[in-house]
Amino acid sequence: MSAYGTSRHHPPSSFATSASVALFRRLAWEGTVPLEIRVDPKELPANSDRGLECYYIQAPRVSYLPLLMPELRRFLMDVVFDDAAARILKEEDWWFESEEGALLKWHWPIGLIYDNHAISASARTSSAASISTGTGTAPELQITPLKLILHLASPPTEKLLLPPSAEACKQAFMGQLKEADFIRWGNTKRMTGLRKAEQDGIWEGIREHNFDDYWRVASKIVPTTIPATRPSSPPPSSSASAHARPPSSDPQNAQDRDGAYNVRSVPVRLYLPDGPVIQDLAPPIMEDGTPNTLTRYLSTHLPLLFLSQGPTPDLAFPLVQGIILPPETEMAWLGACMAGADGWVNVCVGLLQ
Amino acid sequence: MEESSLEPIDYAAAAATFAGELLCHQYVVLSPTFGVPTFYFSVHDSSGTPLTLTEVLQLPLFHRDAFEGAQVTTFSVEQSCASFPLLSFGDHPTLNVQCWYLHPCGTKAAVEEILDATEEGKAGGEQRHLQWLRAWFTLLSSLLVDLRG
Repeated sequence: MSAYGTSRHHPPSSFATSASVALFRRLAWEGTVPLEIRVDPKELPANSDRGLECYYIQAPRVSYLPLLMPELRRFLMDVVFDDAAARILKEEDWWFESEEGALLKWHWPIGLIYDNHAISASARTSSAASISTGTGTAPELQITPLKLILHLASPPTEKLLLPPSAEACKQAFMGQLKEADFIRWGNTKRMTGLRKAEQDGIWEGIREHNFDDYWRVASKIVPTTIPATRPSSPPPSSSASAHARPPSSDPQNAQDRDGAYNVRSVPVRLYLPDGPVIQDLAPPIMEDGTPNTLTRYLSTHLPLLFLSQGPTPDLAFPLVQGIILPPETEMAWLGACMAGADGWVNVCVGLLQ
Repeated sequence: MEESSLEPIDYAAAAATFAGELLCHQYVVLSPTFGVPTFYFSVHDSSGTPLTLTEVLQLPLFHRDAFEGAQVTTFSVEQSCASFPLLSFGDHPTLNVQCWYLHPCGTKAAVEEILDATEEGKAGGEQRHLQWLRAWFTLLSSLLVDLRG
């Protein structure tokens, strides 16, 4: 990336190559979070092996709790329960709770559950999560296991409409993909244009955690960043020649139409600690022709937290895929490279102490 | 892996199974994605337990033919030709609860069809919004028995 010379009047997006897009997509896909899953001790059957009821897993951010249930079941049957107890395990009665007693949204991607929990922690005054700002440097986050309690019975039905299941999860996932498609283009033609085998295939990519299977289909619906057409000065040929397209070729213009900078809005949601989810339009390019950036998006929607200009530093920080991103990150780039597998860029806003 | 089961809606085994009252929460919320009003709801029995989708569909809440020919699973009502389920579960946009909702993606077209068919529907400005909502409720009442419950 450092070979792109000294000219700074090109927006950074000019230099997004297919290689860097693939790199960030791979990084997002391979992201994992540590989970510590403990069965509620009160629900362990009489003959179970106590002391071993904790299961540790480095779970993919793009996966879902119901997809971990088969693995959990095997662990419980092998290590914790005796045969009699194992026979009566009913997964349809299982539900997950955080250490603080909050019912977990099993239909959310695991990465979002983790980041959402992290920002809730940031808002508690006696928070154990250490987030220090230093002078002008980004806050540092400690990555600690998210402690979950797995209950095997008596779901809190007044809050849980539906027990966790892989099938229901699949539908939630497909629904989010379609919504993201609609947000981008105002229609869902790209999703509905997929054959049934492809629609099933993209979910199988999640279930099996297979990057290639997932992106084989996702590449048909998720836009990519295209180098902006700049007839006056093409990118330096030295390192870009392997990837850059000739500026005047027709296929590029056709691809531009479907590119990440041409969507009508980037599918993005803002999560506040223990608070509402804000969803609003996020155009990729502002009216003045400049790209929409994370800092612009945040200071528009949360002006009291993200002060944008002036001497006062921001009162909050944005987490995307568990990372605090540079404020100049372009929204369109986020949509193309760091969205979740369900198509949505989830920005979790934590508070600085 | 759980399999979706094809179940015809059994109206004979209806609400007589529920002793006591049922509480139905109904909401009309703007869908942040589709930008149209969307109908969200949940139904609970007197102990606070939510009804399953099958039980919900047996209630005299929806018209009998509202979901004619549709496929019912534990989590949705689908039609094989449609790209979205007719009825699905999801997060209420503001209340942090899970609800069932009628999928809104076909709403805009259907409402505009209604508006085009009437004189009042051709109004402009604020009147247009009012007529739009009226048409939306007309559409909803073709599925729900009586919105006043």
